[in-house]
Amino acid sequence: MISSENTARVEDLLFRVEGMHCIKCIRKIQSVGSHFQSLRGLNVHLGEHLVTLEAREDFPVEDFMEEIRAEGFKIVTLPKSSNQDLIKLNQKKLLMRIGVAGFCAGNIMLLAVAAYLGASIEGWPGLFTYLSALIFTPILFYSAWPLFESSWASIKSGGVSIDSPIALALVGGSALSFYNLIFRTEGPTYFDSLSMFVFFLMASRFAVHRIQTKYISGITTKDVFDQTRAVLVENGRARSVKSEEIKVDDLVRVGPNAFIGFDGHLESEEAVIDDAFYTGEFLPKIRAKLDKVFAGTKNVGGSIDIKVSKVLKDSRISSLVSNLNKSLQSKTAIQTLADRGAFYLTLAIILAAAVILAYFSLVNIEEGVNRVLALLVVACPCGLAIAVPLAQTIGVKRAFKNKLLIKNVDVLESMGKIKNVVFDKTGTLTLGLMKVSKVAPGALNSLEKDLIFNLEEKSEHPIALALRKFVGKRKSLDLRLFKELPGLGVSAVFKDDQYMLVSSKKSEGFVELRKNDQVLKTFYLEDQIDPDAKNLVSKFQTDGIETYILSGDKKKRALELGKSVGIDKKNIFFEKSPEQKESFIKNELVDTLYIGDGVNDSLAMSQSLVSVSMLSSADVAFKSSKVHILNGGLGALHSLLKVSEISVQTMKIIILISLIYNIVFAFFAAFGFISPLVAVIIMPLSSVTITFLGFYLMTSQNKGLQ
Amino acid sequence: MNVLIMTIPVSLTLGILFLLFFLSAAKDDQFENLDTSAQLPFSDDEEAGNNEELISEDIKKQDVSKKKKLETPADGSK
Amino acid sequence: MDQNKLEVTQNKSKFYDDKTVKWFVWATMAWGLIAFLAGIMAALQLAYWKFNLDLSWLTFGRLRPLHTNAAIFAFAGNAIFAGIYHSTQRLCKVRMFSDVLSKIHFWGWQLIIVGAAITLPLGFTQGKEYAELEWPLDIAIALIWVIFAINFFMTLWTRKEKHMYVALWFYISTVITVAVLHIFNSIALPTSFMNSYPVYAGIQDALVQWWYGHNAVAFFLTTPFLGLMYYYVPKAVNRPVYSYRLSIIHFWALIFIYIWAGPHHLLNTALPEWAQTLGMVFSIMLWAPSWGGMINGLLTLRGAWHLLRTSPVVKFFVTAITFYGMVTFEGPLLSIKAVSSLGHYTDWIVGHVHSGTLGWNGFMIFGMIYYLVPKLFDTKLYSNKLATTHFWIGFAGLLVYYISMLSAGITQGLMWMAIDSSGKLVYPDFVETVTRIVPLYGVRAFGGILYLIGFVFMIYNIWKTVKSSRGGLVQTLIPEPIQPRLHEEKETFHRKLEGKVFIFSILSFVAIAVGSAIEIIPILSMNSYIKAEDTVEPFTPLELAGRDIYIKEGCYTCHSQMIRDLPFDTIRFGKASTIGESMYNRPFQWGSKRTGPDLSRVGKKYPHLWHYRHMLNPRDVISQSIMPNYPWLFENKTDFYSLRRKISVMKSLGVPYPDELVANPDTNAEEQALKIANELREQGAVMPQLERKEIVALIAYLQALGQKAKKEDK
Repeated sequence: MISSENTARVEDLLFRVEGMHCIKCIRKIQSVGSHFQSLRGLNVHLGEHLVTLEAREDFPVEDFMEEIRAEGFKIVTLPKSSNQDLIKLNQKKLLMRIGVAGFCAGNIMLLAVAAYLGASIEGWPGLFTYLSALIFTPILFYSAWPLFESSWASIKSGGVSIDSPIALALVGGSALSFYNLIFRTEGPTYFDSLSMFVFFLMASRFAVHRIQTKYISGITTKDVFDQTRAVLVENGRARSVKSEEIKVDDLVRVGPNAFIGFDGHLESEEAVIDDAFYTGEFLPKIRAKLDKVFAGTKNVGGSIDIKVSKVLKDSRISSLVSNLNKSLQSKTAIQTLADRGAFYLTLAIILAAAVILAYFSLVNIEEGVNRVLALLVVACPCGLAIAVPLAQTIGVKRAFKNKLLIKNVDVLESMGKIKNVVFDKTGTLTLGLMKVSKVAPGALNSLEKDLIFNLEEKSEHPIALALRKFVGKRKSLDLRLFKELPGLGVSAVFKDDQYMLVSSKKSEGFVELRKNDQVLKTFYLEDQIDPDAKNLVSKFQTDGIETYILSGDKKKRALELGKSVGIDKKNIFFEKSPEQKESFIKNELVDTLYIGDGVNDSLAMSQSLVSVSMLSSADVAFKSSKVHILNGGLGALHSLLKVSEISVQTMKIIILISLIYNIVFAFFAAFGFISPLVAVIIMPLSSVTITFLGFYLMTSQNKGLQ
Repeated sequence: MNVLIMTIPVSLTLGILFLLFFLSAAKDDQFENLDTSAQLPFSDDEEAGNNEELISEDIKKQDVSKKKKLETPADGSK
Repeated sequence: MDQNKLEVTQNKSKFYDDKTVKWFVWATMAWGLIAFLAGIMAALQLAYWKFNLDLSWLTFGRLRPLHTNAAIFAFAGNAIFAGIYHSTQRLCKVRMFSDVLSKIHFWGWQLIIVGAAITLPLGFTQGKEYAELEWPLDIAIALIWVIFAINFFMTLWTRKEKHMYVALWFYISTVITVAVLHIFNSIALPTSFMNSYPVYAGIQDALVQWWYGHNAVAFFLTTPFLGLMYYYVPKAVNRPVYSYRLSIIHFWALIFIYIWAGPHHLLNTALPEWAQTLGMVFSIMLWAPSWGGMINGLLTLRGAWHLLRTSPVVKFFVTAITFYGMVTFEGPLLSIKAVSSLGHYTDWIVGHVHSGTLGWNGFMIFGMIYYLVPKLFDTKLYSNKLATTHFWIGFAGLLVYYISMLSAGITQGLMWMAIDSSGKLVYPDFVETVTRIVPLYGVRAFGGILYLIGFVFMIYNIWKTVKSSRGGLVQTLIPEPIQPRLHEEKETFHRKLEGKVFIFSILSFVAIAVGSAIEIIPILSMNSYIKAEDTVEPFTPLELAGRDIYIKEGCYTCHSQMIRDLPFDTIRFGKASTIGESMYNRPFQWGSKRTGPDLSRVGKKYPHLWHYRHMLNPRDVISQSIMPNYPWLFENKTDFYSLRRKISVMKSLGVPYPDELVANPDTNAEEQALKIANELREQGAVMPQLERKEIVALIAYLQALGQKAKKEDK
C-alpha cells in the first residue's frame, strides 16, 4: 500500500466516515485502501469519524469512496480548511504548555513544602527557594505566555480581557518573589502558589477548548453531491468531459439518477426532477422544456439535455454554500452572562488596584504592593473561568446522555432566550415515512392487494414501502414484463392485463393503481407525524413562544400538517426556497430556534439563535446546526430544554457566589487583612469549592433526565 | 543530608528528561486520535476474535445512527 | 516443516520474536519456584529455627536476601521481560530490534541470577535491601540492563505504529528510572573481588537506599506491571481500556513527581523532621494516581464481569488489581507518622509487602502466563479447572499470609508500645513479644505453602498445555499497523545513523553519570551537618571485621540499629539514636525489621561470654529465643589480612583513620582480638585459637555499638 514512487505530487485528503467502531472496521478500510497504488498513507480516527489519506494526484477518489460504501460505511469528503489545522496546532501548543506547567508546579510544590517544613542543606542556604525560582521561569515565560498575549492584545484594542488580572497577578507576584529572593532572603515568595495557579487555569481551559472546537469544518458543494465528469453534447455527438470543462451555453446530457451540476434550462420535452435539496420534499416534480433547473437537484427520470446558464461555481447552490460558511464562521457568539460578569468585575478590580497603589505610593509602597497583589489574586474571577466552563461541559455531557449532541455550549444559555420556534416540515415534524391514509373508491380486494404487493416487492422507495405495509404480506403472482418507470412508478403484465402503480400527474401525493390505463384505485399518502410534535408545540405555546412552519412543500399539505400539530394558519409558510427561509428568519424574527433536517434548512439555521438538526439530517444540515439529535425524534427537545434550564440556573448560582466571594475578599485584601500568601491559598480554595458546587448542581438535578 | 545535593539534581534531571519526552510526544501528535490508539492491543489479526464486542461505549454513542434516508446525499454519478 | 523454518529464518523480520518471550516465561516459572521455596524455608525458620538444616548457607540471614532477590529480579524480573518483549513487539508492529541483544539480555540476566544464587548464601552481600548483590554483579546488572535498554528503545525507534500505546510509556519509565536508581545506589568502592563499601554512609546511605528502595518498588514492581495491565487486561476481556485518556493523564502525573517519595521508610528515625513530613505528605498524595490506575483497570471489565466467573485469567487479573488498590491505600496509611510508629519494624510491613508482591505482582504474572502460553502455542489451556483451583488455593494462601502477618505486626507493635501507669514497659522482655507471635509465623508459612502448591499446579498445567500443542511455538506474521508512520522513505542509512547517535548518547550519558558520581559523592560525604558533640570514633579494624561478619550473616535482617525518639523505644533500648552515631557506617545499619531487639546500644551491656554463649546457642541465655545457632562462627577464621584494603578504602571515603592504623590494621586487629579472647577465657570460654575465630571479631563489634562517642580527654 505504501508506494515508493516519489514522482507525483502528493496531497492530503480528508473524509468523514460513519459506522467505524473498532479494529475490524479499521482493517476493512485499510484493505480497501490497499487496492490503490496511488495511495501512500491512510489513517483512521475512530473518535472523530475521520479518515485521512495521503495520495498522489491521480488517486481515484470516487472509486475509493464507492468501495468504502460497499463495505457498509457512509463516507463524504471534507475540505481541508486551514482553520482546522490552526486549531489543532493551537491545541497541541496548549497541551505542551500544560505539560511544562504540570511538571514545574508539581516539583515546586515538593520543594516549597520541604522548605516550609524547614528543609535546608548545610552550606547551601535557601537552596530550595532558589530551585523553586529556577523551575518557575519556564512556567512564567512559556506556559503562561498566552495569558500575557491576550491581555496585551486587549489593552491594545482598548479593553480588558478576563486574562488581564491574572496576568497582572503573575507579573506582580513573580516580581515580588524574585525581589524577595535576591535582596531579602526572609521575604515570602509565591512561586508554589503562582505555579499551581497557572497549571490549574491552563488545564481547565484546555478541557473546555477541546469540547468547543470539536465540530468545526467548512462546507462545500461536495457535501451535497460530487461529480467529476459530465457528458457534453456537441453537434449531435456526446462525449465525456471533466466537470470543470463545462461552460455557459453548453448542452449537457444528464443521465438517470444523476445530479445536475450547474444551473440551466431544460432542453428536453419533459423531465422528472427531485429537488429535495431546495424543498426538502421527496416527491419528484415534473418539469417542462425551458423550465429552470438548478445545480444540486437530481434527475430521476430518463436522460435529459440541459443548456447551461451558470456553471457550478456561479450557481445558486454555490452562493448558498458560501453564504452559509460565512455566517457559520462569523463570530456572533452571544455575550454570555459569564462574559459580562467577568468583564465588569475585571474592570472594577483593576481600577481598585490602581487606586490602592496610587494611595500607598505616598505612604508605604511595599504595603501597597502587598495589598494589590492580594487583591489581584483573590478577586480574580477564576471560579468563573473554571466553574462556568465546567458547568457547560457537564451540561453538554448530560445532553449527550439524553441523545443530544450540543456542538456549541452557548446553546445552553440561548435556549432560555428563545422567542420563536420554526419547524421545517418533512423529516422534522414528520418522520419522513409515508403512510397510506386513504383509498378510494372503496377498499382493496384480494387480487388488488396481491398485485400491489408483487408490483412493489423490489422497490425501496418510501411510497413502495408504504404500499407494501398497507397490504401486508401477500402471495406471489406471476408477473411478466415488469418495468420500472423512473420517477413515476412501476408496471407489469398479469394474465393479459397491464397494471401500473404510478404517481398521479394531476395531484401531488396520489398514487394510482391502473388496469389497462383505467384508474382502479387511488391512494392518498401521508407523511407520518412525529408523535411528540403536538406536545412539543403546545409546550412552546404555553411558554409564550410563537411557533411557525416553514416548508418547501405545497400549501395544502403544509396547512394540513399545521392543523394536526396545532400551529396557527397564519404562521404557516409554504413553498419556501432555502433563501426565502433564511431571509424570513433574518428579517421577520428574532431569537429563533430553528429545527430542520435538510440542505434547504441550513441557511436558515445559520441565521438562528439556536439551530437543531434531526437524526436523519443531511450532512450540510448537520454541519450547520448547533445541536443535533442523536436518537429519536422531536421528543429530545424536551431534554434540551431541561438541560439548558439546569445549566443556566447553575451558572447563575455560580456567578452569584463567585461574585460574593470576590467582592468580600477583595475588600479584605484592599484593607490589608489578607497577605498575598493567604490570598494565594484562599483563591484556589474558593475556586475548588465553587467548582464542586457547580459540579454538584449540574449532576444532582434530574427533572426526568437520564 | 548533603546527599540531597546528589539526589535532587538526579531526580530533577530524570524529571526533565521525561518532560522532554512529553513535549516531543505532543509535537509528534502522540496525544491526537486517542480513540483509535486505545484499540491498539487488538490490532493483531490472529487475535482479532469477536471484535463486535470491542466497541468503546463513547464511540458507539457518538455514531450518528444509520436511519433510513429518503435521499442519499453526496452521491456522485459514476 | 523444514522448508517453513527456512522461510522463516530468511524472512525473520516479518515475524515476531516469540522465542525469547517463551524463554523468559520458562525462566519466570523456574525461578519462581526457587524464590517461593526460599521464602517458605525462611518462613519456616522463623517458626522453628532448625529448618535451616544446620547449614550456614540456608540460615535466615543469608536466605532472606536470596528470597527477595529471587522474587523481585528472577521471578518478577523475568516475567516483566516476557511481557515487555511480547507486548512491545505487537504494539510497535515490528520484531525486536536485535535477536543478538535479546539473547545476550536473556542469558546475561539468568547468569546474574545464578551468580546471586551462589554468592548470597555464601554471605557475599553489600548489606543493602534489594541491592545486596556485590559489585561485580552490580556492574553485570548495569551492563545487561543497558543492553536491554538499547534493544527496547531501538525497537521503539524502528516501530511501524505511530502512536506509542500507554503500556509502552510505562515500560520506558521503568527502563530509564531503574537504570538511574541502580547506578546511583550501587556506587561502591571494592575492597576485594566480592566485597565493597558504598560511598555513602549513615543517614546519607539511609536516604539513598530508600530513594532507591522505594523507587525500585515503584519502577520495578509497579510501573511495568501497570504497563502489562494496560495491555493484557484488555486482551483478556476483549475490551479497550475504560478511559484511555485517564491512563495517559495518570501516567504523566505519576512520572513527574513520583521520584520524590522515599523518606516514608524512615519515619521517626533520626532523619530530619522536615524530610519525614515531606515523605509522609507526598506518599499520601500518591494514593490518588495509584487508585486512578486501579479504577481504570477494573472498569475495563465493564460489560464483561461475567468473565470473572468463567475465566481464570480474569480472576487473577481482577484480584491482582484489587490488591494493588489495597496496597496503595495501606502504603499511604503506613506513611502517617502515628501509624508508622506502630507498624515500623513489625510484621505488618512484611504483610504489606507480600500482599503487594503475592497479590498484585504474583497474580498479574500468573494471569499473564495463563493467557500467554496458550497463545504462544496456538492451543487451549490444558485445564481451566486446574487453573481455577490454582486461583483459589493461591488466594487462600495469600489471605492467610496477609492476615497472619497483619495480626502479628499489630500485636507485637502494641506490645512494644504498652506502658503501664507508672511509666514502665508492660513487656520489658523483648522475647515475650516474639513468643506471642511465633504461632502466627507457622500460620504464615502455611499460607506460603498454599501459594506454592497453587503455583506448582500452574507449572503442571502449563507443561501439559505445551505438550498438547501440535506445532510447537507459533510463528506469528506481523500485521500492518493501524496508524502507520508516514514518510518512511527516509534514507535507511540516515535512520541507522540517527539510531547510532541515539545509542551513543545513552552510553556516554551513563558513563559520564557514573564517572562524575564517583568523583562527587565522596566530597559530598563531608559530614558538616553533624553537630560537633554528636561525632563518634570510627570502628577499630577488628570491630570493622566483626561488622562485616554481621553483614555477611545477615544479622540486619532481624536486628535494627535505630532507636526512635518515641518513649516506648527509648525506655526499652536507651537514648534515641543520633545521626552522628552512624556517620561512618557504610552501609548504614539502621535496619528495617525487629524480629529480634534493636542493637544500637547493646555495647558493654553484656559481658563477652554472654555474646559467646548467645551466638553458640541463643537458647542458652534466652530460653525462648527463635534465633538460630551460629556454630560456624566458632570454626571460621577472621580474615585479618583483608583489613589492609578495607581500612584504606574507608580512609579514602573520608573515615578519619590515622595513618599508622591504615598501615597496620591487621596487627592492630590481632592485638585487640587477643585481648578479647583472653577476657573470654577468663570468663570461662574454652576454645583453641579463639583469637583467630570470627566470633571474637563479632563480639568486638557488638560491644562497640553505642560506645563510640568521642572521648574529650583523648
